[in-house]
Amino acid sequence: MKRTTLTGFIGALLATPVEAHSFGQPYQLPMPYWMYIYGAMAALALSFVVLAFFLREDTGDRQARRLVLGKPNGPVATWLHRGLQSVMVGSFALAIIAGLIGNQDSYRNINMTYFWIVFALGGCYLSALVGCWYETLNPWRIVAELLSRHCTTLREGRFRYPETLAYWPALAQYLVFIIIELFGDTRPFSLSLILLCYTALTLTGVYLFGIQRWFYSGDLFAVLFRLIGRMAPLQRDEQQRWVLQWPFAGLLGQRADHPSLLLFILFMLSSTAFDGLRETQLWFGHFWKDPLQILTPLLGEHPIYAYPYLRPWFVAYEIFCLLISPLLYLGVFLLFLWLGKLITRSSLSMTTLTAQFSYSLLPIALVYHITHYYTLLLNQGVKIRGLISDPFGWSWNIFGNAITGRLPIIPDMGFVWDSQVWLILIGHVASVWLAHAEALRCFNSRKQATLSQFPMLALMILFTGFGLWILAQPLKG
Amino acid sequence: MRKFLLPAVAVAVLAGLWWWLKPVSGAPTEPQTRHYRLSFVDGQYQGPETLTAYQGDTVQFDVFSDQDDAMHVHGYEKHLVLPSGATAALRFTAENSGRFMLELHGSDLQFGALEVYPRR
Repeated sequence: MKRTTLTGFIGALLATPVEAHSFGQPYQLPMPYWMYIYGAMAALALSFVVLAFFLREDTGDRQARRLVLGKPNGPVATWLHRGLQSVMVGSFALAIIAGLIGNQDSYRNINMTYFWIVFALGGCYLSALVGCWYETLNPWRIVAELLSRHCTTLREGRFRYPETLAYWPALAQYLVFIIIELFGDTRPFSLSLILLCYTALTLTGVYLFGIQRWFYSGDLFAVLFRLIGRMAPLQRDEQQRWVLQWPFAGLLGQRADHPSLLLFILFMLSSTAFDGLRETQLWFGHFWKDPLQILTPLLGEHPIYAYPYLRPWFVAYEIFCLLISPLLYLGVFLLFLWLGKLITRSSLSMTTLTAQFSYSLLPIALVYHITHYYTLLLNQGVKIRGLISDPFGWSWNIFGNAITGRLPIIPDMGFVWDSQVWLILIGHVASVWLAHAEALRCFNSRKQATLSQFPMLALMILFTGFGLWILAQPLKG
Repeated sequence: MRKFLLPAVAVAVLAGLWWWLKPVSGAPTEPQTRHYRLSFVDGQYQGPETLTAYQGDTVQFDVFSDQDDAMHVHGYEKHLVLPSGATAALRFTAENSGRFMLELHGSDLQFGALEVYPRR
């Protein structure tokens, strides 16, 4: 009876004002348990298939094959380029203005859907297809380039970029971005203020250190989209020609040139995993149901009854967990690398090994992200069609599709589950493959390279299994 | 030869695992009507936090509210006007599977989710 009362009380408390995800709710159901088991077993089996492949092949030294598609030239290409740049700058200006003066209903104002879904999510997935799109269509860079015509300091910057800063500014922005996304409860107005602050920060960074340097390692989206872009099949080569290559092949031979970049990559993994985990009953229950009886003696009552004053502490606890999550992943990563070093008795330093193997985690990070969020692009992102007709939420209907353009695309849940399993397996195989190719490059013998990959293989299976496990967890109500 | 053999082994293993692990569906074979009564009194929700159905079922909500409000079933984009002190009804076929948020727009209250499971 007491348990029933408590459950009812928890249910009532869960019915709180909307503040979970920044915007939009993933609509997928937990993956059936058997599919999680299937995915984990398949990951194990496929890992050995990859291992078997590498027993004879010399893929480690091979360069990625590329099909040159050509270089866009002529007035059409120039106008198209300028047109797309204008669209990017104009759409961000519209989003900021709409947030400041438009309807404050998050679903009726264009800026929430545009920034959180179309730009932040769509930008990642576009980068995974077309590697370098953001380099030329980055709206803040376009504005900085325009301003630099009148203020030449912006081009080179006032100071030399301190090497110790490395990717730390981008990582700090990434941490803040995810905290705002998960805990910020942003509304159109506050989002516009955030975007204005981000614009001011970016232009300050450009003013201090120059366009090239700031957008290379100081800016969140430039670094994020470039990292994901390395995995894209469509790329631009050194001569600015469009080339087609195998997905993930762009990661071959890449090195993380600073520990801050490794932490950035690990945060890509850990923030998505954390976001998935905090939606689950398990996460909610480990604190509010106090299964280990830690909080109850401290509080003198069951924590759920202390919800009103305990909730800010719970949020602080969640933010703390989010912030230390990349360090936990780093610990696990270093442990398995060290095991590989131990088994092979390699003379390579841990610094060299972490730099060489860090990019092999990117495919898993990407598929974690896609499986967790891609349905948002379909059920919320497509509503941008209707929102263009009524960007301020003032019941306009400029293009006649203000209502019909907001119909979501809802793929069948069976398809979503299947796609989640297969995407995670593809990411897993790509990561194992890349790690093995790297091992062949950096170890002296094939035997040493293969031996070093057993701990790495276990690490990849661990990350993959954890990703699938989160997807299979029951969600909180 | 080896180039074809390894992918073939991989496909065989994956297919074999799938066949071995996939359970028989436990979903009812015929669509049913799922009837839920929800109420909102003094801004508090009274009712189950997770409402479940299978794809193809008919879902009926009878919703009472002591304040003027409007309920929104996300994803299905169904809106139900809730006049103060009265019970309003919403009935629809759950054609799409997934987890759809239930929200009271006036109170900005996300009070639960409708979970529609695929019939497979």
